[in-house]
Amino acid sequence: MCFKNLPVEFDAEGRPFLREDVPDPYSITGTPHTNGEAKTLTRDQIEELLEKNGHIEQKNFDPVTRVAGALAFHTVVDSQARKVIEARSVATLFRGYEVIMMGRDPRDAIFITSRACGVCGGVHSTAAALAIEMACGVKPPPLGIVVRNLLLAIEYLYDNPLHLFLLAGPDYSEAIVSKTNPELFRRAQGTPAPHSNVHGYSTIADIMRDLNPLEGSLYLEALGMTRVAREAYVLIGGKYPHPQTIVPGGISATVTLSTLNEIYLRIQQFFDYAKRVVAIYDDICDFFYDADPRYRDVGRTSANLIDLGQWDDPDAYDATYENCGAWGEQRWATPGVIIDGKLVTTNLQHINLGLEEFVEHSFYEEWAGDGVRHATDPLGAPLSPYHPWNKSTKPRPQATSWREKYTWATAPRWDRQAMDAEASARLWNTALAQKIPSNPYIESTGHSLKLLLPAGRLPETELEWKVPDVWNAFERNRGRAYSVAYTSLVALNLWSKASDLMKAGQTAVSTKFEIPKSGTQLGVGFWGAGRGFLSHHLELEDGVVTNYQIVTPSTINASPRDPWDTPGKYEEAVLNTPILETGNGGFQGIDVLRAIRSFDPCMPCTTHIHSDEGVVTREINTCACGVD
Amino acid sequence: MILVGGVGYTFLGDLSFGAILVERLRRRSWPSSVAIEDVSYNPITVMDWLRDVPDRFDRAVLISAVERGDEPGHLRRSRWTATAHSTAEVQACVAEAVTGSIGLDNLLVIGTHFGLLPKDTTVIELEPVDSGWGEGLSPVAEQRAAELESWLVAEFGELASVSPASAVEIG
Repeated sequence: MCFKNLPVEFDAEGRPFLREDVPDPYSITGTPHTNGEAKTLTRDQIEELLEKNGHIEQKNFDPVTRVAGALAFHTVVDSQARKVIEARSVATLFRGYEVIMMGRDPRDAIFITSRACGVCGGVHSTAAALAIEMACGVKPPPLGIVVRNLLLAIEYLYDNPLHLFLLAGPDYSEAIVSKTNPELFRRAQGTPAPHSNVHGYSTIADIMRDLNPLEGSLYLEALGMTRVAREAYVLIGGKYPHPQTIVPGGISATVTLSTLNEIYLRIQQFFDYAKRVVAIYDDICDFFYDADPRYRDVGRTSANLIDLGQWDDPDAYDATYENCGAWGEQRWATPGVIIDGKLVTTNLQHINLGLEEFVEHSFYEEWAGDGVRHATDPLGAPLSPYHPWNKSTKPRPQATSWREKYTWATAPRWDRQAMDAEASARLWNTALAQKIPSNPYIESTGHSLKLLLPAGRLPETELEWKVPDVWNAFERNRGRAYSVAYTSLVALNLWSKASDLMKAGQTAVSTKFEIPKSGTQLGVGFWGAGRGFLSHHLELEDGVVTNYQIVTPSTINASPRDPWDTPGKYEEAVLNTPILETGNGGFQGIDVLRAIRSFDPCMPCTTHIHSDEGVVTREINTCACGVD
Repeated sequence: MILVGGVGYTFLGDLSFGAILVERLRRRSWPSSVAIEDVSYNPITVMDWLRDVPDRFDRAVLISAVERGDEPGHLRRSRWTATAHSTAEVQACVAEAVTGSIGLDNLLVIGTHFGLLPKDTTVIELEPVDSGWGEGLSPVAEQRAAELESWLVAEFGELASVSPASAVEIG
C-alpha cells in the first residue's frame, strides 16, 4: 500500500478502492501524516517577533523578470541566530495556459502549451501529444516513439548544463564566494581538487575562477554545449524551444540515417563533457561539506521526490491509461514516488491517484464545491475532488496576504505531502527500482546507478551516483551533474534503437488519427522536463477541450503552504538553511539563494535583494542615446 | 548587408509587433542586401547565429514593442549606442535569456557584451496599446505597422515586384 493519508487501499488483485468507513474521504479538516522537518511559526508569532526584536528583519528576494513568469521570495531572518524563521514562495504572474486551452481543438495544445516555458517548450508539446494520444486512442509507430524520446534526452542535455553553469554555477564562483565568504575562498586556494586528472583544475579555487559568469571557461563552455544540444534538437524538432514537428501519434519530420548520424556527432560530445561536469560538481560539493559541515543544511528538505518517468519503450507503450502501470515501468527513467528516501510506488496509475492541487494560499477560487467531474479514473479507481482531472482554474487576483493568499502557484501534493520535483528523482527512482531495460551503459543496483561513459579524449569511465544520505542544495546540483551523464547514455541507447529500426525498414514515424467528435474522453501526458515531473491532464467533450491542467516541476517546488500549513519545498528548504555568509559587503543572502536555485526554478530567477531599506533592482536602459 | 530584425512574443497583442511586422515584410521582395529576420528567440542563440558569420551585417534595424511609459501607440526610433553594463547586469540578462525571456533589452545588452551587433544599429520601439494575450495587433499598432513598413520600403528599397509605398515620418 502506498498511501498513508488518502483513504485508498488495494484489493487482492492490486486494484485501488476507496475505504468505505471514511464518511468524507477527501475532507481537508484532518491533519495528514507528513515528514517535513521545517519548524514554522504562526503569522501572529512572526509579527510579534518583528515588533519586539531589532535583529529580526524581513528580507525579500525579488527577481527582476520583465516578460516571463517570475519568482519572488519573502523571508524573515533572525540575524542573531543566523537563521530564517519565515519563508514564503511567491509566483508573481498568472500564466493561464489552462484557461486559454478551454474550448479549443486539442491539437492546439501542442503549440500553445509549449509557450509555458522558454527553456523547454518541447517537453510541453510532447506532454500534450501524449495526453491527446491517450484521449484519442492512437499509438505512434516504434520509430516515432524512439525519436520523440531522443528529442527529450537532447532537451535535457541542453537544460541541465545550462542550470549547472549559467544559473547555479555562479553562486559557487570566485566572484561570489570571495565576496560572501572570503575565508572559504582562501581555503579553496589551498585545497587540491581531487578530480584534477579529469577536469584539469589543480585547486578548488581554479574551478571557482572558471565558474565566474561571462568570463570563466566553464561558463563559456556551457554556453557552447547548449548550442550543441540545440543543433541536435532542431535536426528533427525544426526549431527550439518551440518545436514544429511534435504531433499526436509521433512526429511530423522525415528521419534518415543521415539525420541520426548528425545527431550522434553532437550527442557524443556530451560523453567527455559529462565526465568533467560530474568531477567538477563532486569536487565543489565535497569541498563545501569539508569546509563547514553546516553546508549540509543549506536547502535541506525531507527526501520526498516524485517523477513520472520518461523515455518510452516502443514495444510497451500503447498510449492507454489502462496499461500505464505496465508501460510506465518499462521507461528508461522509472516513474516513482520517494518518501523519506524510500521508493513507495513505481505505478503511474497510483502516482496519478495520489495527485491533488490546493489553492488555500493561491490567487484562485476553490472549485471543489462545484461538484466532482470524475469520481473515478478510467480504470474505476477513486479520484480526489482536488485531482487535476477534477480541477477548474478560477483566477482571483487580490492583494498579497501572508495569512491567506500570496502566490499564483498552486500547492500540488501527493498523498497530501509536499514533494520535490527533480532531475535527481529520475536517478533515485531508477536506482532503487531496478527496472531499467537491459543495456550496456546503465546499471541500476538498488541503491545507486552505475554509468559507463564511452571513451573520447578521456578514457572510458564508470561513474556511480549513490542515493545521498542528506537531501539538500548541494545534492540537487550534484544529482543534476550526474543527470548529464545518465541522459547522454539514455540518448546513446535511444540512438542505437532508432538506427536498428531504420535498418529493419521500420521507418514510419507517425500514425494517422481522428479527434472523436462526440462523447467525453480523458487523457494525461505523463512526462518530464529537465528539472523533473511534468503532467498535462486533458478532458475532451464533443471534440473540444473542456478541461486542461498542467502541473510543472516548478509549480510543485514553488508551491505555497497547503490547507494544513505544510510549507512547499522552496519554503522548507529556506527554513532549514543556516545563514553562513561572512562577508562585510552587507547581507547578500547567498545561502538562501543557493537553496532556492538548487531546485532549478523554471522562472527567470535572477534574484535580487529587497530589504527594509529599499529595493535593489536591475535597470537596463536601452535608450542610451537620443532619438534620431 | 542590412539586418531588419523583429523581436516579440507570438500571440501577445501589441507585444507581438516585431514578430508580426517581420511576417509582413517577408511577403515583399527586398534587395539581396537586406535580410528580414525574426529574431524573437533566446538572444544567446541569436548571438550564435551572428557569430557564425562575423561582420555579416553592416547595419541593423531592430523592431519591437516595449513598455516605457510613453503615450500608447507612440513609435520611437533611436540609434543604439553601446553602453557598458556591469558583469552582474549582463549575467542577469543572460540568465533571463537562457530561461526564455524574449526581449529587445536583453538582445541589445547581450549583443553589445559579445560585440556582435553592427556598430550602426537602429532601434525602433512601439509603445504598446494592448499587451494582453491574443492574436493580431490593436488598431493603433496596425496603423503604426503600416507606417513603419512604408518607411522601411523607402529606406531600403523594395524590388519592382511590389509597388513601393511612400515614406512616412515616424517618431
